Amino acid sequence: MSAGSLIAIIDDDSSFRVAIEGLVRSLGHRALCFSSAEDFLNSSKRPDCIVTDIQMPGLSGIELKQELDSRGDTVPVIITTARTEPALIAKARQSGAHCVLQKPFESETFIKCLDGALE
Amino acid sequence: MHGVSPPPDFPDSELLDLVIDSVVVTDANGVVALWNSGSQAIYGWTRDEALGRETSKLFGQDSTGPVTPQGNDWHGEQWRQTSGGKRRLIELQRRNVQLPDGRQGCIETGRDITAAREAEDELRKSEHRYRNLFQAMAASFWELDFFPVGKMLYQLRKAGEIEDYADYFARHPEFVREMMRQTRVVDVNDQTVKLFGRGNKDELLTSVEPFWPEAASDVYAASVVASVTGKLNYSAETRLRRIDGSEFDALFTACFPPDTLNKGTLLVGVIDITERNRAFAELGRSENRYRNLFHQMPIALWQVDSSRLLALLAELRTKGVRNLSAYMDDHPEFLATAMSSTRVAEVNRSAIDLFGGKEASDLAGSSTRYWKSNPATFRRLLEARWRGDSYFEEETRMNAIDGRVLDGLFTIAFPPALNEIGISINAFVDMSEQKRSLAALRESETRFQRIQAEFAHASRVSMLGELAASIAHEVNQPLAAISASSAAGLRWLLREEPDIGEVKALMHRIANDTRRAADIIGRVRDMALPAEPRYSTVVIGEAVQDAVHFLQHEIRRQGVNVSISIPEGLPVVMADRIQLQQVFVNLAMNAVQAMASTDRPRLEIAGTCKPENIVVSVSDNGPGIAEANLPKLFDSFFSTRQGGMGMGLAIVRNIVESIGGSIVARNRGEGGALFIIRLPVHSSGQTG
Repeated sequence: MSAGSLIAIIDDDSSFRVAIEGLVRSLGHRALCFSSAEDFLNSSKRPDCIVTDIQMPGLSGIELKQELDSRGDTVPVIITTARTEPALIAKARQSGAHCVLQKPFESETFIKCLDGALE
Repeated sequence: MHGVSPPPDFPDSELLDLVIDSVVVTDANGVVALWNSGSQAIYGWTRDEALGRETSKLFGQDSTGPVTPQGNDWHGEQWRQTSGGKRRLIELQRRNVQLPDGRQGCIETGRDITAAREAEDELRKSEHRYRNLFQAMAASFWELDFFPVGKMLYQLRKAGEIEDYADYFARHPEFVREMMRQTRVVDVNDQTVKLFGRGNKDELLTSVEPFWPEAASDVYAASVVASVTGKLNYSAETRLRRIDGSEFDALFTACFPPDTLNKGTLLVGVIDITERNRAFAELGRSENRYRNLFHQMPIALWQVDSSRLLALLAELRTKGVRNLSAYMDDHPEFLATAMSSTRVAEVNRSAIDLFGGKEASDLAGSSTRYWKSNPATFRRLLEARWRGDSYFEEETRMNAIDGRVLDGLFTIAFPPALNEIGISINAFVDMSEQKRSLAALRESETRFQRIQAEFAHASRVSMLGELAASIAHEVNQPLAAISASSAAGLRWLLREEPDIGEVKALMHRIANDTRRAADIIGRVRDMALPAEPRYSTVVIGEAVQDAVHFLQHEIRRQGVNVSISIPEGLPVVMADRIQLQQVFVNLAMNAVQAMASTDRPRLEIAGTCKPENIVVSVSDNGPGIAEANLPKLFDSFFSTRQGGMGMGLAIVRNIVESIGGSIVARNRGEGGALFIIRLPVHSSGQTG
């Protein structure tokens, strides 16, 4: 279990964002919150893992992954979503995200994903 | 005798006492020289009293009367006083003579014609009166000489021809015509000239034959029979003829007063009854028209005999009752008495049918049974009569004789002319049908409204179905947050040194997220609420905000720019809050969906206040509405979307119109659709 990693949390929904940040910190990691993919990209931060929602104004989570790919950035991405469309979920998986989690998800599931992504 | 020369000696003067008339001889000075017993009989003075007196002193100075001189002979009339002071009219003949002693004198004979003159005067007056009457009568009068006819009949009797005049006349019409020819017109009055003639009275002084048409001969014959059988008069309606040949209806009356019949005179009166007959015919027709009208009228009509009731009321008045209302309060039994005194005399078919009878007699009689349900109406009717009104009407209930209760309008007319003969006419316009129809209509309305509400509900639910994904998505966010927070909270608590501060913060966040989830669920539940509209004062701004909030996920997903400009303090409207939200959700949703392919989709909702109305506009910059679709836009089952039910806008319009508002749609000049909703301001003047 990696301690003290930097996790970027990107979601336009503030209560979810804050809740995940709390969870991440309770795991001993550090968290940075962004309400949009653009904000994150502009911040030039280099986290150890990104947790992102799909549906956001502007760049979607999937598009962010594609952007990172095109930049050659291999930081692991965990995609969370409240959407349910199977096509979208498939697309998310195909983007190369480490995990795709459908909200609401069990916290244990998330922790496992995070641990796996940080390894 | 005072110094007058002794009377001359007349030879044979005793002879003069045998003369009935008065003989008086006077000298040139009017002194009486001879006075017979006839004079005493007339004037009263004896010979001894009269001899030597001046006649002017005896008979009075003011002897009046015309005296006509004829040479030496005078004759005339004079009013003279008698010894008893009476005045007598004397017919006189006088001659100047020479007295035996050679002096000039005058001899007169006199006759008392007072009585005769009075009789004459009376007769003349009577004649005059009769003449006046004869002339003046508005009836046509004839004086006929029947004498020759009498002779004809006498001949007939002598010839043994007749037992029965009537029979003979019937069998011998030519005899009757001859009788007519023998009946002479002696005199006619002005009215006869007017009625029968042409301005010339003499024309009519002929026989009566021209005035009797053939067909009327039997009436003439009957009048002759009446006269010869000792009747005093005879009258009959018949047809008579004018001098110009035209005929008319007449009332013919002949009088045969016994004393004139001997002389053969009879009096006939004729009255033209053409007018009267015409009036009767008119009356008959009128009667018929009334009867027809009464019986054919399609509303229930009754002819009521109120004579007994009127007598009752009159009795009260003579007893000194002034206020009928107060009287009836003190004597509650009077109402029942009044009802039973009011009798149904005649009814028409409509009344019989309506009131459950088979024939008119079923309904006749006392009117008590018709007022069982609502005697108060009858009471007010009595009060109207008492006041002298000629008309009364009231919506009320009456009772049919088969037990049914009838709702309707009761009217009664008692105009003075009818009232005087104790008749009034009732009409009853049955509104039971109407009332039932109204009730049915109202029920229909209610059912319709319920169905409308059901539809609105169904629409909301179907919309919820459409939004299900969106809603699920929305609810999932707080749920996920709660899940993460509670996991984190546990971890914080399980540390060697539990970070209570963190846990506290987490708990707060969990509470907030729970509330958020509950809100969303609540809104969904609201939208799914069943149909009964519940009206309250609604603030438009809040309804719009709620609607946009409800759709926030869709809005965010599509990236729609939403602008809401609804000023604070707009007046409230009276509406069902959920339904009003539904309106804005529907319009906003349509706009968002329409702008699916629009680059920078923008939804604008603006509100302004006009007098009595709030106007809200919902506009987008999508492709707008096809011109062809504009007129049908709000029709039920009209949809431009594949698989769309087409209920949304129809229901929106229903909701808006059910609170007295309106909605129109058009395309904006700069592209996109514009919906304008007008909602009436709630009149209590509250603002929100």
